[in-house]
Order: sequence, then C-alpha cells, then structure tokens
Amino acid sequence: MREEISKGHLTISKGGNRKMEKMKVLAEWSYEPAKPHRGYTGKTLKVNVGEKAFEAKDVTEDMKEKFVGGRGFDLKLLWDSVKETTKWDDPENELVFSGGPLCGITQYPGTGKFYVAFISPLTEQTYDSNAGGHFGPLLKFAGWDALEVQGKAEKDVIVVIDADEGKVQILESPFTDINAYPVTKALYDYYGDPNDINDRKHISVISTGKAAESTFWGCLNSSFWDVHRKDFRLKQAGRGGSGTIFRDKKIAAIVVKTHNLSGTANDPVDVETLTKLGHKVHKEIFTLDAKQCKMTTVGTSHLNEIMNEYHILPTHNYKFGQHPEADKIHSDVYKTWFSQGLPDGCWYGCTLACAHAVDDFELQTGPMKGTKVIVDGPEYETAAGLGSNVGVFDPHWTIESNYYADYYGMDTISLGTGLAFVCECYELGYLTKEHTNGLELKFGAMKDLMELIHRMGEGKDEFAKIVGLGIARMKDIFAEKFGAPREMLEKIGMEGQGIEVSEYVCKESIAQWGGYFLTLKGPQHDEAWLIFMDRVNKQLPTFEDKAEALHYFPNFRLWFSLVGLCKLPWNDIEPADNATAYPPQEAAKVPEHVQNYVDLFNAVTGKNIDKEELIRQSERVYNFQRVFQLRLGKGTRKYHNIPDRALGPVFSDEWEARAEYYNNELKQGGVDPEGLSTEEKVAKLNKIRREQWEKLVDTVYRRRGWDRNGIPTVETLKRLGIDYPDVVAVVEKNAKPEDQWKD
Amino acid sequence: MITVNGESMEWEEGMTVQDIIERKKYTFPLLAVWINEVAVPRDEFGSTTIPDESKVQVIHMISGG
Repeated sequence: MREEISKGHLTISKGGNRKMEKMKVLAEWSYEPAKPHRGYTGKTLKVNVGEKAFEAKDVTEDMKEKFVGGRGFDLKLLWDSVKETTKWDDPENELVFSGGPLCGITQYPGTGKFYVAFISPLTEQTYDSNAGGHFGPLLKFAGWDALEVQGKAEKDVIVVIDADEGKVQILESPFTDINAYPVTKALYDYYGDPNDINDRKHISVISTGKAAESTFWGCLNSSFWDVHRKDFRLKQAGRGGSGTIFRDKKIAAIVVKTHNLSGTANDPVDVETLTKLGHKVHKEIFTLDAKQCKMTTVGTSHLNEIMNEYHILPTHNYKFGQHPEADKIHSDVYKTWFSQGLPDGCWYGCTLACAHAVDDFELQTGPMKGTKVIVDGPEYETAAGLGSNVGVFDPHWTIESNYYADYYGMDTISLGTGLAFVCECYELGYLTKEHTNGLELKFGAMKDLMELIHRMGEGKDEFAKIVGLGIARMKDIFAEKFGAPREMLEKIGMEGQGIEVSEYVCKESIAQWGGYFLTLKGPQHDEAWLIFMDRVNKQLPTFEDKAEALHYFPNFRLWFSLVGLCKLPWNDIEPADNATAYPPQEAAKVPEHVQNYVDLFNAVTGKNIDKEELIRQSERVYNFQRVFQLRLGKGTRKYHNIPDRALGPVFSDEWEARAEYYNNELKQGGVDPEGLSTEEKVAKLNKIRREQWEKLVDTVYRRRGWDRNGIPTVETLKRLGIDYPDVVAVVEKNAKPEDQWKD
Repeated sequence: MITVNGESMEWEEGMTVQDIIERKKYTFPLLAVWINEVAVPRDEFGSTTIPDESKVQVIHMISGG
C-alpha cells in the first residue's frame, strides 16, 4: 500500500532519506542472547550512547519479587542511575524500556506492550508511557528484560540490538530527515531480507521526529510489521516527552532484531492453561464484541458518541462535554475511514484487534502533501483531542493531524489539549496574530491550526516553540511576556504536575478529580477512570467510597504496566454473565478477567499469586514511584493541584449549558441559587468544590497510607516490603511530624 | 415512587427496565440492571416490569477510558 510512497522515501524527495549505504560502526559489543525462561531472560542491557559503553546486568530474585517487570524494572533501574538533582536533559537521565514477564505471549489478547520510564521534561519527575507494536516482545526475545539508554551522543546515532548476530552496536546515523516514517522505512529496507518482505516481522524500530527537538511533547513511535499490508505500522508511547529525551541524546532510532519468535518463546511453565484462558477470551470477543464495544471494527472510537451523550466529550478546551456537531465524529463515520476485515492486532494473538488504520489516505498539507499513506488511528483520545477539543468536527482534518503528529513525533493528547488552550486564549484576546506570527487560532480554524502543527514539526517558528513547551510553561510565558491575566490562565489551563489532561471532562465527577489529579505523574487516565461509577451509576456516594476506588483501580491498572499487557481486553470486552454473576460493585472490576490475569501470571512464571497479591505487586511499585517523585523534589501535596476548569464551570456559558445540573449541585451544597447571577453561582460552586477537593485529598491520602502531605509513611513502605534503606531515607528526610495523622 | 441510581422517579404501572433506560437517556450498550439487588438479564430488559417502591440500579459497565 505504501509502495509508491516507500519509493519516495528512498529518494531525497518528499522529506525522505537517500538509500542507505553501509552505516559506520561507532561502537560494538558482542553477547550471547539469553533465552527467556518463565517470562524472564534474567538480564538487562545498558547502553551509554555518550561513552559508547555497554553493560549487561543480572536480574535478581528480589527485583522480580518487588518490581515484577515492565514499569517496575524501569523505575528500579532508573532509580539506581540518577541522582536527586538529575534533570531531564542531564546525560544520566535514561530512557528505560521493559515489557514484563507476560509480554510476548501469543495465547491471550493484548500482550505486546512495553513501558518506558524517564525523568520528564514536562513534569521534571519520573514519567512512564507505553506502546504496542513489536518492540517490547522482540527486545525480550533478543535476550533482554529491560534496556537502559543513557548518555548523550556527540552526533546522531542509531542503537541496534541484533540477537541474530549476537551484537549491540552504536552506529552513526546517516539520516538528514529524522521524522518517524522515513527513518523507520529506511531501517526496514536496510535490515530486511530483500527476498522475503514479511521477514521484516523480526524487526522493530523506535523512532521519534523533528518536533521532538523543539517541543516537550516528543513521543516515541514503536513499529510493527503488518504482514497483511506488507508495510510497517507505528504505535506511540505518547505521553511525557520521551521523544524529546531521545533527541536530546541524539538518538535517531533504536532497532531490535531477532528470529527467536514463537508462541512459546517466553518458555512459560504451563502452556495448556495459557491456551485455555486465551480460547475463553477469544470466544468472548468473537461472540460479544459486536454487541458490546465494537473494538474489532471501530476500536476506541466507539467512545466518541458515548462521551458526547454523557457530557464527557471535551469540546472547546473542556468548556463543554457535548456538542451538536458530534455526530460528524461518530464511530459510524470513522468506520467508513478505517479499513475493515483486516486482523488489526498490534501483536500476535490479539483478537480484540483495535489497531485500526486508514489506508491510502491522501495528505493535503505539509511535507508529504499529495502522497497516499497509512494512518494509524485515530483512537478516541486523538479523535477528541485533535477534534472536538479544538472545535474541529472533521475526521479528515483529525486523521491528517494524527498522521503528522506521529510523523513529527508528537504526543497527540498533549498536542490536542495544548492547542485547545491556545485557541481559548486566542478567543479571549490574550493572544493576537502578533503573538502567533499571523495565525488566527480560533476554535475550529483548521487551516491555521494545521499550519501551527507544521511549524511545530519544523521547529523554526518562535510561537510554535512556545506552544510545544506545554501548558504549564505557556501560562508563564503568556502572562509574563504577552500580558495575559495569570489568574485566568490558571483557571483554564488543563494541566496537572506539568502535563496536559487527557480527553475526558471530569468536572461532574469528584472521584475523577482524583483519577486525574491525585496521580503519580499527572492527569493521564491510565490510573483510574471513575466518571460513570461515580456520576452516573452513583456507586461511590461517600468520600471513603471514592478513596477506596482511588486505591483499588490505580493499583489494579498499574499491574498491566508491570507485566507487559494492554488494559483494553480487561473491560472493553466482558463475559456474558459478568453483570448477573456479581453484585454491582464487584461487577465493575470484571472479576473473571482479573482471575484470568492471576492465572496467566502463574502459568507463565510458575509463581502462585492470588488477586490480593496482584494488588500488592502494584502497590509496591506505586509507592516506590511516589517516593521517587519525592526524591526528585516533587511528590508532595502542593503538586497535586487541580485547575478550576476541572472542578466546574469557569464562565457563564459553561454554567448555562448545564444549568439544571449545576443549580442542583449548588442546592446540595447548601446554597439557594435563586436570585444569584450566573457569575455569582459559578463563584459559589467553585468554593464548594475547592472544599470537596481538599476533603478528597485527605481521604485518599489516608487510604493510600500516606501522610497529610502525600508522602508514603515508613509503615506503608514496611508493609509492602520496599523499606530499602535509600527509600526510607528519602521519606525520613521529607516527612514532618506535623503532617502525620493524629488519629 | 422508585429510585434509579439513588434518584427518585415516578412509578408507572407496567413500566419496564427498558422504559427506565430510555427515560434516563442511557445509551451506553453495556448496561447491567439490578432490581432490589436482583440482576436482570440483558435480553429481558424489555419484558421485566418494575414493582412500585423498587430500588433500581442501572450500572454502566465501564471503568476505564
């Protein structure tokens, strides 16, 4: 499908790279790839691109016991490699990649994830992000439970892990165009077997793009070879700025290559159980998905209409949760764009197959204008972020901006939310064409918004560079340099801990305030998504109920990141009897699928965990990461802040759009709305909600075993068995007697 | 009078689970319903009537974006 364009990539036209000559080896190291045994190879690899050094480390039993794998391994290795003063652009900062013990099994859906951890340019504390594709499994099958990349190269390099040849190399990059598609294409051509196009399934490439050099929204693109399309596809570890670090280290790409690829390459202890569990869930998907979430046909875009109908779809920088034009981005519309009938799993065995793509999409703008390409997605977050949230209800524009975000290496969520903030600032008159270098950045201004994306990709325009620093820094610059009112910017800037909010309106759910803003790393919905449980189902009526959910779900969901799984097959498909076999509170956890995960873990590793130990495994890493943030000077209560726009309406039109609901909220707060102006009502509700927020923070901290300042207590560390001397020392250095609970 | 997810709703003779879902504009496909703690199978929403004074829970089976 991309054959013609691929030819374009082989020339210097269309922003591509010239056909590659043999690349210059700057450093090389030989190794004997360790075979995975019960989900682990027992080895991790460290590559320092600055010192051109390589190191293999053993995985200890304690590391497996306490950190499990994936994000747990990432954070442990990162902890050991950085100092409390390390900044995101210091050479010792790392990108640490790991799949986890279940990563790469093929019997169960959603098993190809890797997780990457790092100190983020946006949040200045640890962040972790994940992607599907083949990199995670191939890295493990190449012999490594984790990969640490440290140092800064003098000039652009490519890191190659070639298990077939038993060597790791640092190569001089020949690329003049470091954008994701041309780099990935060139490397598949370079390393692929010219006589067998689908032999490229043994290769995966990590890349970013030009925008990662000038913005803090740089993402990592993780490739997989699509044997049906006979072309590569890209999945993104989008959030946190990992791509920005990648380019700061002057890395153009990381390549992993291995032919050690089979359904039992993990050497699981109990293949029969894996197969049985897989069959059960595959059958659920085949028989129920069409009646449930339609993941196999439209992926997560099924959420577009649902969120709109329940006032949760962000439109116009989260001012509203619903829009009359939302039908234009309905999943039925996206279905006409997505190619149907292809097994769109991003790793083998994923019958949920939500990695849909738009084939033969003809680009209308930018450096690739006029060419036909494959666009991966858009998924819900992109359809909302680069759609309704910026006032655009045109799938063609969203698909094109999705493509270019991937091409330039930018996180579509931060990009969407950041552009939405810019649009509102422009419409409020805080920005003018003078600031934006001629762009009229109103909501729905598709032409100028696309031009801004290209300027960000090129990294030349000063305003585009400011936008790419993220909302937290935009607020400073808009206030200090452009004279915008700081107080208003704080109210409408949808970020927390330095990173942009993902694409759900949370102003009507107290529990989701916590799901977004009482998180380890900022408002990403991977910890807890409680809006329906809280606001619609009314399953969390008390603050204690909300706190319990904000204990259980973050810990349950974190577990996917320890073992290398995708969250979607947990509850985007559910057993037919889930709703009748369990009481409501339990049914929300999809208990049968949780048991599947326990059984999967035991069947691969030979261990004997139960549902309670599964949560403890997560809780250890959750609290370890919290202490890690503290070690880096964050991780206390003052960083758990929430903007007014997340708590409720800021302007009268937001109130009026949901007047009945908000008037009722006022009454429940003991305020009679009769006779009050809308502005007065907005102010009074905000006061009530600020008090509710503080109560939520207290209740959640207590439930999590943290003190009033949000610091895990030493007792909590001991209970979890992570009372390592250096971890305890961080807590003892920062905890104050006056912050301890008195009763 | 009945309660639906804790909120009062006027009871009508013969009202079904499906009637409640439509009245509340619950369009999400994965709904689970309990009447006085007893689960109602999805394929019986249209035929199951609600007794007066019932406590009805209509749970949207989604806890993750």
